[in-house]
Amino acid sequence: MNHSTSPRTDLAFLRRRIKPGSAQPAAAQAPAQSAHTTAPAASPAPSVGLTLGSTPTRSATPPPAPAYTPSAGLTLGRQATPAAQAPQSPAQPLATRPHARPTQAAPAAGLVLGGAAPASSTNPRARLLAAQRNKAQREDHEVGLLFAAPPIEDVYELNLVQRLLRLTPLQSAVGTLVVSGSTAAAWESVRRVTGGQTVDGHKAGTAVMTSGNRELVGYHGRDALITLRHVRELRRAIFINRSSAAMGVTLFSGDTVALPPAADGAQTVLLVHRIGNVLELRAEPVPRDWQDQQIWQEFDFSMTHQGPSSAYGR
Amino acid sequence: MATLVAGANAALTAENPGLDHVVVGMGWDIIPSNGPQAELVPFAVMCDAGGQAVSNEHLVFFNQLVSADASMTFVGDADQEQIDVDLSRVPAEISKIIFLAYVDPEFRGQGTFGSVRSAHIRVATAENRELVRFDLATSGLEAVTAMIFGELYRHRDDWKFRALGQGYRTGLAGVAKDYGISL
Repeated sequence: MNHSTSPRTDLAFLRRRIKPGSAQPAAAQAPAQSAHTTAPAASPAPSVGLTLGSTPTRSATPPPAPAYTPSAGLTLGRQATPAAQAPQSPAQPLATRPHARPTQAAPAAGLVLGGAAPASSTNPRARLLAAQRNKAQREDHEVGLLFAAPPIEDVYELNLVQRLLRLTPLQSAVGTLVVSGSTAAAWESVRRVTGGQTVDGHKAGTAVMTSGNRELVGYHGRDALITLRHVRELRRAIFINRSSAAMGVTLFSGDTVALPPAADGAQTVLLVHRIGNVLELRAEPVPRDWQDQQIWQEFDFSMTHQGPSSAYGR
Repeated sequence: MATLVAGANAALTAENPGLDHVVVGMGWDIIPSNGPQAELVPFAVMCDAGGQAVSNEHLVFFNQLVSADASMTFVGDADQEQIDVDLSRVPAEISKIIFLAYVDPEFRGQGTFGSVRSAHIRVATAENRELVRFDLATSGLEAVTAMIFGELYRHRDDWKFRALGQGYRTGLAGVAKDYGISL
């Protein structure tokens, strides 16, 4: 064994030293402050992922740099550093970055435990604005990463050759997306509420009701509908066609697109998928003899069920 | 605080030196219904000197939260619809910004402004100090499906607000036609 014979002269110093920031009263107030703020929780910073051949569009920008970057990870300090409190100029001036939407104050991307928050985050309105701008930036970034897709005006039919089209934010939000000729639909909301319905009225899973007292996705007569006023509650929906006629999609603008009926042992499923603030319409082929449940499984739809409400009243 | 009547205007920046940021709030009460009901959608359009929308990226609504130049931000939820306008950031090419609400053209029955009991538009500072307010008349609107509540517009180097209350029976499609919006 190797014992050191020299005394540890630094031990007394280490035992007596005061840990930095341990006696700051602000730490005790931090939870109370956060409890009174009504702004939504800070949104995460845009994720940086793999970019594969994205088309340069207005929003096809690299992840915008926040106005200041307090920390990207776990922060256990009791007080924000001066650098984090004072808004700093980004590395590149905002005006020189094309299409970058300036932010007033981007929230921290990571967990911040205790300590004084940046000044901007104490103002609920500023936080709300910053959150909205961050949200818009994230959506722009998501949409910017997408492969190029034609608009609905340029597509007559979605099929195995032309499989994809993308709507604009306005087209994705006005009126009702009407799918005629489908025999069954399934949907999933952003809260993962999942349900399905057939054209003859059979239902599975859970319907998603909107504030206008309409179903987010459902049937009206023989037409399947998506309530676009509440498109931001939708994650995705599929529409199945077992008839011998084509399926058609119609927008408020009057633009339409058709999907062919089953042929050569394959049927075409229409997938409507929301990405950021745009809807994508995609034709997906599946074997003709598959039942609805198999198609749900293929698209990873798992029907959700509401618990009996009476159980809560006891 | 000033209350306006339809057609009246109010100076914003001239009367409030240093004002570079306003919040335009729009509100309404809808007669409640157990069945499907009319859903109003607030909408802002940035227009050029010719009175036309500059582009579809210069619209601000629930599915396009920030304008292309980041001068306008939609801040709203089911109870409170507000659009934040950073006047200092509005490009010089924008001569006016119109604020409207349309009844969503829902396939299963659109509804009209006839089910709206009261509606208003207000302009406030960033600190929520109300500058002007316009309460719209809500009678006789059974056929109206879109309504321009008011507009912010440039007057020389200043910004002013005009109360409008201009109804459309043709809904968003009619507004889009008048202002060159591509649906």
